[in-house]
Order: sequence, then structure tokens, then C-alpha cells
Amino acid sequence: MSIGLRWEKMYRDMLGDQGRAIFLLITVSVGIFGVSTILSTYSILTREMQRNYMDTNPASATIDIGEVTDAVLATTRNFPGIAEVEARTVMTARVKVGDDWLPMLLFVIDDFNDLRLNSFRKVSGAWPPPTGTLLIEHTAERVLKQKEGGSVLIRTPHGLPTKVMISGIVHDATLAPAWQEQSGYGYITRETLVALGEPPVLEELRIQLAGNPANLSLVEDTTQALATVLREQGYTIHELRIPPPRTHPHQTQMTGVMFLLLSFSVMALLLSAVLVATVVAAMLTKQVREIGIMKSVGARTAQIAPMYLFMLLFVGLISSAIGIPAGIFAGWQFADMVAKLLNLVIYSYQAPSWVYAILISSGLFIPILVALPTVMKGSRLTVREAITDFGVGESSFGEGRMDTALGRLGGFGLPYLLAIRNMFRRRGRLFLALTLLAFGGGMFITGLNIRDGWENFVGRINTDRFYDVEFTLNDATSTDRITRALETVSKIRKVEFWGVSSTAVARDGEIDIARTYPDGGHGSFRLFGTPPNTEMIKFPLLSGRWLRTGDTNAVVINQTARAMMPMAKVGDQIMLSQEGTSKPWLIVGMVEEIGSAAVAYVTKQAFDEATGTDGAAKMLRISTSTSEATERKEVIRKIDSTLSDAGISVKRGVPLTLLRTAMGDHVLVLVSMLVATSALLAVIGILGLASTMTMNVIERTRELGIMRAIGATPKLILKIIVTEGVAIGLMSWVLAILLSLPLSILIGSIVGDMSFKTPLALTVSPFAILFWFLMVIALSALATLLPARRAAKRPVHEALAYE
Amino acid sequence: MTKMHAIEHNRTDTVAPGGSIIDMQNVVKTYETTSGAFTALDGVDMKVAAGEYLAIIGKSGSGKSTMINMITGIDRSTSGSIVVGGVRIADLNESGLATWRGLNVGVVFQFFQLLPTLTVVENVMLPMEFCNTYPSRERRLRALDLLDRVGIAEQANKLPATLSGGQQQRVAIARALANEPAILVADEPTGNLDSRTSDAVLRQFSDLADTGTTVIMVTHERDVANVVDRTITLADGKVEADVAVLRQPAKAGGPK
Repeated sequence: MSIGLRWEKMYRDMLGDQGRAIFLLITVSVGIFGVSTILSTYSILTREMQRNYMDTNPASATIDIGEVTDAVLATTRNFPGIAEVEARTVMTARVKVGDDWLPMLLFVIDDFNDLRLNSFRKVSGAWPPPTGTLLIEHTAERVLKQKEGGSVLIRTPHGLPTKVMISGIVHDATLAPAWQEQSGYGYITRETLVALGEPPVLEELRIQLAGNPANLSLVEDTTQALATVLREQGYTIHELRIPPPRTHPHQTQMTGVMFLLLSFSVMALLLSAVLVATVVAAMLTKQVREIGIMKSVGARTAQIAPMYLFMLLFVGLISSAIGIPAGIFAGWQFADMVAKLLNLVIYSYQAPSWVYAILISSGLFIPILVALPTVMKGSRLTVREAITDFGVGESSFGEGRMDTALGRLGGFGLPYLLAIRNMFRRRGRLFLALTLLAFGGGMFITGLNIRDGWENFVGRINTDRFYDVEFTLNDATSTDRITRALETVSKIRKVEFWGVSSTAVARDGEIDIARTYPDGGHGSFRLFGTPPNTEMIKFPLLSGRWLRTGDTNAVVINQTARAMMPMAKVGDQIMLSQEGTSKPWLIVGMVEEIGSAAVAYVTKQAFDEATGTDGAAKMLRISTSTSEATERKEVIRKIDSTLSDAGISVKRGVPLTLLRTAMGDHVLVLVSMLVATSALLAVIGILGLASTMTMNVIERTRELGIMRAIGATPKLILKIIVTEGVAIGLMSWVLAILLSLPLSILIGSIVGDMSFKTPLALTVSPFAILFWFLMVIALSALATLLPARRAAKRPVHEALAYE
Repeated sequence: MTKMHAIEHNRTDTVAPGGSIIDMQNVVKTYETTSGAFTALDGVDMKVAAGEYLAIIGKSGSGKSTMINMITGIDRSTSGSIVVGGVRIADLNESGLATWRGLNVGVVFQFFQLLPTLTVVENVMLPMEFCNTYPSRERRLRALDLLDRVGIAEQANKLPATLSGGQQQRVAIARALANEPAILVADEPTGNLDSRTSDAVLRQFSDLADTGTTVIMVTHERDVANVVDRTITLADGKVEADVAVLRQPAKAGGPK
């Protein structure tokens, strides 16, 4: 047989079995589509995130020195190993939006035309901003409800509320979107800082090591050495901040999420390949006799196997041609969506060539590899085996133990009994259909479980915290003064006075290093001086105990703080720095706290002793006596203005509702991606069921004819087949629920760890279970309807004559 | 009650003694094949009296199976008229045909064709369930009774795969009798059986004919001719011979 004739035969066989050929194409295309989407998104985002971040020329370290003088700059520039130096200040001011004061991060820039480190990009407007104006980050437009040309009322810690015009828009790729943080971001000159009532002082010394190395200990050693020299020169070093080198604040989270999605899409591809293998097996069963005939006229195994492998290659080729471009396109959309959430600009949507190489080789060869054993088995049949085969490889039912057990099953009408027992005739095929469907359903339920779990997680802000607003002051202020000021405000139930200081784990003989990013938020660690009998918070204890009155060196840390010192346990002593000094503390307990970065809690008394702020407070947690939202908002506004009127400088005021809102939408993208991935798996699952039922129905054609011959109406035949499909769907539903539990725990732990270093509690979404129940019934009925209708409509005499 | 009445209504009318229960007139069946039209039945006329035991004989391709398919409504004629028990087959739609067949015609196939996932007794109950005959509680009892009549009651709860060919064929006969059909049609019923089992099957058919059931058997084995009342020989889709014979008792043996 010449090569041409063989391919001609394959081509005609495929044309003659178009339904199956199309089915194969759809199945492989869906699998390839999923992997293409996620892999292209992953490759684009990883590259673009790195590019966005590195384009800002991130500082290796920030030294908080109080005032960066020319002498400091000179010393630093001449210090060995330092490549770049820049002075800057990041100030937490306040901005009035409507009737509320929101936090506003002001980045004070020494020279806009000589940005050396942590640079940002002009989008539009002035550059540099004229004195008395500011540039805002483009994501802050939504928070400030202002655009370029508009103006905002800003109040700095020591200044009066001042109207400032927005003279331009910038993009700062190192910041999370302003609307996520519920904060404004502004960029001003030193002159504008003065106009806002602050001294023209830049507090932070930002440095970058030569070559911007990724080696953390090299960065730490050099920064420590420089800080020591500066200290020896008489400067006060408040803090060293060294974030993970060359790593975007969201890099780890993004990689984690993408890896998770990638593994699911690879699973979808593998499952689709398994489905292809079973369909090929069914095609081969039909072709057994033809293989026998070809062999009887001289064909060898080595001539027959390539025919089928070539067919699979052809299917892979067409599927890749459909799935890869569609997947890459979907990947662009997805990358765009995630880029918006991470405040990144995508400079190039071009997926790297290795992505195409992986995708094309997966599309072409995974179906072949998975189907190879089946093809080889079919091709190796001897002539005698092949031509004595009955064509339909039906194993006889009734000989195994399970068959006997199924034979005893009763309690249904015979047609239903028939449907249920038929389900178990081809157990391998049933297993495949169930696996495919259960994964789809399991992922779907997991996606919604995570959504609900996150809601509960966020809900704990309300159940573990009992204050309505938290005010952080710029300076430690006498509690008597605050009390007197607030006496005039009605509907305050209780005011608690807290101490707050940024802190770091101190090391002997070294200056403390914080892991905080330049935005001051990511990676921060704070020490709270807490009234031991506080009525404002009650966090679940992970171990040990809460603070007691009289505790002088006891500290309770939250799980995020524990993640910074993974070996720490109750009973250990840790050195924490506060306000330039450090002190040993004994860990007496660990709590689980949702809604905050790393915190160490000590008693207010111990805090005051350590920081010398006796009788003063830097943070107020206030509960109101009203449960009505509008009224509460009014009370909070009143407190805010009263404090300001009394000359108490408020750094930020965060109502609890704002904290909750800021957390609310963080995981929605992940959830929608999980659901989208589950849709892919569900499509493959439904294809699997349709294929299973088609093969089942074809194999049972004669049986169905017999049933028609002894009185079954076409409608009843349809009912029996659809019942079988729906029963498989229902079994898969139960499996999907079971599967969703470990999946929810796994993904919940990843999501929880990414956000607050603690796993999401397992939450089962009744809506998801019910919705999937209805979906799986509808989809299984739909998947079965086509083969069922075909079977029901087949003339009885044809069905009886079917071989 | 109403349902049962409706079903009874669908049953083939009783036929007056000596009248025809099957009346085929000028029946033609043509199949369109890729190599052109093929005429399987070519103007066949046939009348069968109620209670008659009839064998349709012929070589492979003579039109025997097509003839059976016409009588049972499994296939439709191209032209001509087929009236079975007063019902014109052509007037029934697919659903109507299925129910009519289930009630009035018992079919026994060459390869037994039991449903492998149903037990023996469930196979026999199936036509009753399909046609909704007999109260559901009685169906099992009736099925067991039928199995007893064909001598295989002890196998009732087994799955068909565990039975021998002869046993399966007896189950198939019991199933064909489930709804007490007026007509029993058997397509090569002894084709896959040894001679001893074949004799037993033929004797059962004879007994059925004696009790008034019209039995039509298709076979290519000419030696069954002496156990039936009448043989019709088909050749090339036409009736070649129609011979009434004096039925001889079937040989002893088989089930008691």
C-alpha cells in the first residue's frame, strides 16, 4: 500500500466519521485554549511586572535619617558599592474627598528632572509640577474624584488645609492601585511641601548598590555599613528599610496565583488528551476488521500505526491552529485585567517564543503520546484476531461481583434500573466521564467557596473589631487633652488610647532593618501599646494568652508578624525596636488578625515606658453609640474636625467600614479566574460525557432495537438514555462536592497566606452546590440528548441488524 | 383502570374462528442501496389464520426476515397492505407501533437478545412494564410463572450472561409471552441451539399453537416442516410454495 493510498484512506475515514473528527478537534482545542490563555498571561505578566518594576530603578534600601543633608549625600555617594543616591520624603497627609478626610501619600521629590531611584512616568500635564500644585498617580483619580486641572484640599501633619491644583498625572508602577488602598497618591516638589506648611526637609536616603544586586545579604551588609558610618558622623538613624531585592511587592502573589491556574489548565489539557485517547480507542474498535484486511493484504504494524498517529497529528495541528490563537487572545485580555489590578502598564503583549514552542509541541504531541498505547495495541492485532473480532468490543455483563451486586439493585422502575445498571457496564469510560465532570464541578464549587470564604474572612473585621474608627495622630498627644477635646462630641461610646510605633526585629549591634517597601505599607511591622482590657478588639488566640494588666515585657504577635520570624514561639524572647531604641520582649501569645499587616501588641504601660510617651497616645480607637450608618459617619466626621480644631494633628482616620471596603474586592479576579478555569474543565467534562454516552449508545444499538421490538416507545428509549447521562452527572456532582473540599482548603490556604499569612477557613457555598447541581443536570441532559435522539429515531430493523 | 382499558383497546381484536389474523396483500418492500434498488419482497400475498403454526422457509436473502419485519411492524412496506388482528400497520406511528407490538406480537430472536444488565425475571417483566399491563405487583409473579412454564424458574434472579444458550432462548420465549400476545414470531429460533434443545423449543411453540396462539417461525431448516401446520417457501421475495401439512408431534425431550 503506497503512502498516498494510506493517507487517502485516513482522510476518507475522517470524512466518513465527521462527528467524531469534530469532537476530537473541539476537545483538543479546548485543552490547548486553556493552557494557551494561562501560559501566555503568565509569561506576559511576569515579564511586564519585572519590566515595570525595574524601569522604576528601585532603590536597594531606604535609610530614614530624619534629614538628608548635602554632607549625607556626599558621604553616601563616596561610599564603596553605592551606585545611586537620592533624597526623598514620603509623607502621610490627608485629603478631603466630599465630606471625608482620606489618607494621602505625598511623595516629595528633590528634582523631578533628575529622578534616579523609584522613578515614575509622566502620563500627562506638567513636569515638574509648578509650586503649589501636585501630580497624582492615575489610579488616584477615582479615589480623589478629581482629574488633571482640578484641585484637592490637602492637610499635612503640621500644616493647614490647603487647596492644591492637580497639574499632571503620573504612573507609579510600584504602587498598588489607589482605589484598592483607599488612599490618594500625590507627587510634589520641596517648595510645594513648604507651601503646605512643612519644613523643606527630605527624610529618606534612598540608595542603590552597584548593579542593583539581587543578593539580600550583600544589600543588608552594605546598608548596615553605610548607616554605621553615618551614625558615627552624628546622624540619627531611625530605620533601615530593605524590601526583597528586585522584586515587585506583588511578585510572589502573582506568581503563586498564576502557577495555580497554570496547573489547572495543564490538568484540563491532560484530561482532554485522555478523552482523545478513549475516542481513538473507540474509532480503532470500529476499524479492527479493516486493520485485519489491510494486514491480510500485506500491511505491517509499522505501516498501520503511523496512519492513526498521523490522524492524531492532524487533529493536534488543526486544534492548535484554533486553540493557540484564541488562547493567546484571551491571555491578552486576562493579562490586561490583572495588570489593571496591579497598576502595571503592559508594554508588549508579545508572548515569548518558548511559550509558542511549548504550546505547539503540547498541541501536536500530547494527544499522540496519550493515545500511543491504544494505537499500538490496535495496530499490532494479528490478522486472525482482527477479522474474528465482532466489531463491538462489548465485554459481557453479569460475570463480575459488581455486576451481580448491581443485579440485586432494585426499587426503581425497570427503565430506570436499566439506565443505572447500564452506567456501570463500561466502568473505565464511566470513570473517565466522572473524573472529567467532577473536576469541572469541583473547580466551580471551589471558586465560589473561595469567594464565600474570603467574604467570611473579610467579615471578621467586623466580628473581631468593635471600634468604629481608628485615628492615628502625627504626634504622641496627651490623653487628657484628647479627652477634653472630645467631650463636646456626643454619641461617643468609648475612646481608647493606644500607642503606635513602627518596629523591626532588632539584631545585636546592628541597626534595625524593616522589610517595608517605599510606599510604607507593604511589608510594614508595627508595635501597638494596647490597653490590656481593651474593648476594641478580640482576636482568636492561636497560642498562649492575651495581655494582662501589669505585663511589662509581654508581647502578643499576630500571624503576619510571626511569618517574619517563623521560628518564634510562645516563651521566646525577641528584640524589637521602637522609636530608635530596642528592648527585649517575651512572647506570651499569638493571635490571628485579619485586616492588618504585622503587629506586635504590648501593654500601653510597657509601650509608654519603652517609648517615653507616658500619658500620651498616638492612636485612638473609638466606638460610637449609634448603630445607624449615616449618623455614625457624622459622628466620625465630627470627631475628626474636633481633633483638628483642638490642634491635634491627625495622620489618618480609618473608619472600620473603609478597612472592609479596601479588602473586599482583592480576590475577585482570582475567583473569576477559578470559575473560568472550571468552565474549561466543565466543557471538557461535558464533552467527555457526550462521548461516553455516544459510545455507549452505539454499542447498545441492537439492545435498544430489541427494546423497541418488545414494546418500548421512542420516547421511553430517549428517557432511559437521558436518565443514564443525568445519573452520571449526578454522581459527578457528589464527587465534585467531595473534590471541592480539599481544593478549597488548598486554594484557601494559598489565598489566605498571600493576604494575611493565615489560611481561609473552609467555607462551603450552598449556592455553588445548588447551582452546580442544576447545571450538571441541564448539561448532562443536553450532552446525552443528541445520541439519545439518534438512537430513539433509528428504525427498529436497522437497530436489530446493527453489528 | 382507565389505562388498562385503553391498553385493552389497543389489543388486537379477537378474530372469528377460521378468520385471518394476518392479512398481507401485494406487499412490496424495496431497499435503496448504493448499488441500486433491491426488492426484498415482491408482491407477497399471505393470510394466516388465528392459532395457526406456520413456518416461513427460504434461503438466505429470500426475504424471510423482511417478511417477519413486515408482520411485526419492525419495518414498513413500500407498498401493499398489511393488516394484523384488524389493525392496519401503516396507520400506526412509531410510538403506537411499539405499544401495539408489545401487546400483540411476541418476538423471539435468533441470538436470544436478552438485555444483559437485567436479570432473567426482569427481562420477562420488561414488556409488561413497557406496555403497562398487569398491576406492577403482579408482574413479577406472572414473569416467574412464565419462566416456570418454560422450565427455567430457578434461574430467575440470575443475569443472562450466566445462562447457557438454550436457557437464554427459553427466557426469550417467556419474555415474548409476557403480555399474552395473540401472535408469536420467531426468527431462526433454533439456529443457535443443539438439536435436543431445538426440539424442546419447537414443542413449546406447538403447545402454544394448540392453545390458540398464532406462531410464525422463520427458518432455513427444511426439516422443521413436519412440526408445523403450514409452510410458506419464499424465493427472491416471492411466495414459491404454500403447503398445508399435517402436524406431527414434536420429539420428546427438553424441558418437562
